[in-house]
Amino acid sequence: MYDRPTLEELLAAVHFYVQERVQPAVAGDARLAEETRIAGEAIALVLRQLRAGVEPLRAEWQRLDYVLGRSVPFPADPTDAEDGLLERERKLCEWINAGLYDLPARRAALFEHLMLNVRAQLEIANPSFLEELAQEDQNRPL
Amino acid sequence: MNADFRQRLTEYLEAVLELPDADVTRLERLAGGTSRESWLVELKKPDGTAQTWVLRRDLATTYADRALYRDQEFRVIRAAAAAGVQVPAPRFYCVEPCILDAPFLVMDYVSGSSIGREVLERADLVDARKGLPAQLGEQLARIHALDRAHADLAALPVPRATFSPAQEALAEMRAAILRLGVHNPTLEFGLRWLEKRMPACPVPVVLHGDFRLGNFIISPRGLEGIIDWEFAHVGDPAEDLACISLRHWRYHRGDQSFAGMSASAETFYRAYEAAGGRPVNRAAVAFWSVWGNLRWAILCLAQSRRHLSGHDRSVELASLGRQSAEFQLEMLRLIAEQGVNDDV
Repeated sequence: MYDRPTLEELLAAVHFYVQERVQPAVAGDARLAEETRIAGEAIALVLRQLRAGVEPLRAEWQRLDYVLGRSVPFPADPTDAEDGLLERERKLCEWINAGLYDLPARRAALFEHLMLNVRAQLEIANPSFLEELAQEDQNRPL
Repeated sequence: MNADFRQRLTEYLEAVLELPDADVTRLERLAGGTSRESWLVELKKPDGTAQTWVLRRDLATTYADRALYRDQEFRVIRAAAAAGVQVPAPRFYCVEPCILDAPFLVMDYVSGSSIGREVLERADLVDARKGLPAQLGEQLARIHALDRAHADLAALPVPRATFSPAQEALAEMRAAILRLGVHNPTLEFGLRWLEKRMPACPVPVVLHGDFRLGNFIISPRGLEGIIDWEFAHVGDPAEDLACISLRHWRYHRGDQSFAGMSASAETFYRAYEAAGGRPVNRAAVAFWSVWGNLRWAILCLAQSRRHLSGHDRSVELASLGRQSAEFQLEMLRLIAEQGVNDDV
């Protein structure tokens, strides 16, 4: 239905514009330069999320199946998947506060879940932060 | 807008200084600050003398209930200055929104850099960096020795009756999550983990509340001033002691756990204790390190809401929402270090 560029290609073009054209042009204004850099990074984030598609949502859904102890089919429609994830996270919050994860084994499983979830978020939001941490852990003396 | 700003500022300064024909010869927006703007103001008086000030103006909304109003912050800085804490001399403040659209305060300009990355990287600051852990420890001990009963400090937020500082801090985080209406299992888990490990604090003290790189002005001579007192409150000294080591303010030098510097936190603690600070409670510092990351994870979400609400539209504020995960991960890593199940 749409001619090219694709959504991703068009956004990549805007990213190029902000980084290569606008950024040098605002170099004299510290405030504007910082905001432009942040805008460029925001576009890069959106591109990563677009490229990752529905897979991270499905992976989180399956992890929630495990930590909530019930299997629910992953919705076919991505919008339903996002709404469903919000609902399931709300449930998880309720259960945490009700003390359902206070026993050591369950707490350890929950912790593992949260680690994977936050790392999955950062794969999209700021992968270089994860790389920095990995580098640091590698260099840490035993 | 800039011309109008200059005009209104000039009229205000003429009025408060009782100086007709004062001339604002320089007015520049300084970099940094998502909750408020800083302006460099150079004023030339009719007698030819010049003064350089920094004017800090609130942006449209405040994002944290705990943040002080400009007049309160002004008084805290004045009390700190009187007690020998290194702060830029406070000059005046104005809470009338009709002057510059928002409350503001004016203090002396102090030369040096407060930008964290510069402080850690600039070659001409190498000697300054060596002295910082001891200077900061000594300064923090002075801050914590401020008299809570002093008239300028009497209005500082204190833990509600029967609450310890840790209880108060967790209650505030709980309230902030409720206000935001988010259901984030990581934040809930962090809160619950902290709730079971609250340290006692026999003697709550006056805290800076945001004691970290970014809020220290450094020149080749060393520490020149401690700024940004809007989060001052009464609480556990370990909160300030933990703040300076939070990962985010190591500016990508994560393995250098004391403020991204090669010194160890022990140098800082020793200077703090030698200058009269109470013995550093390491377990309490560990608790407040986890709390500090939880707090910033929540503050990031709150900042993005300022944009989303339409009050303060800014791509920087919007982006902070996605940065929350960095603080969440650091919080989880610190919990893992201390033991997810260390209480059983």
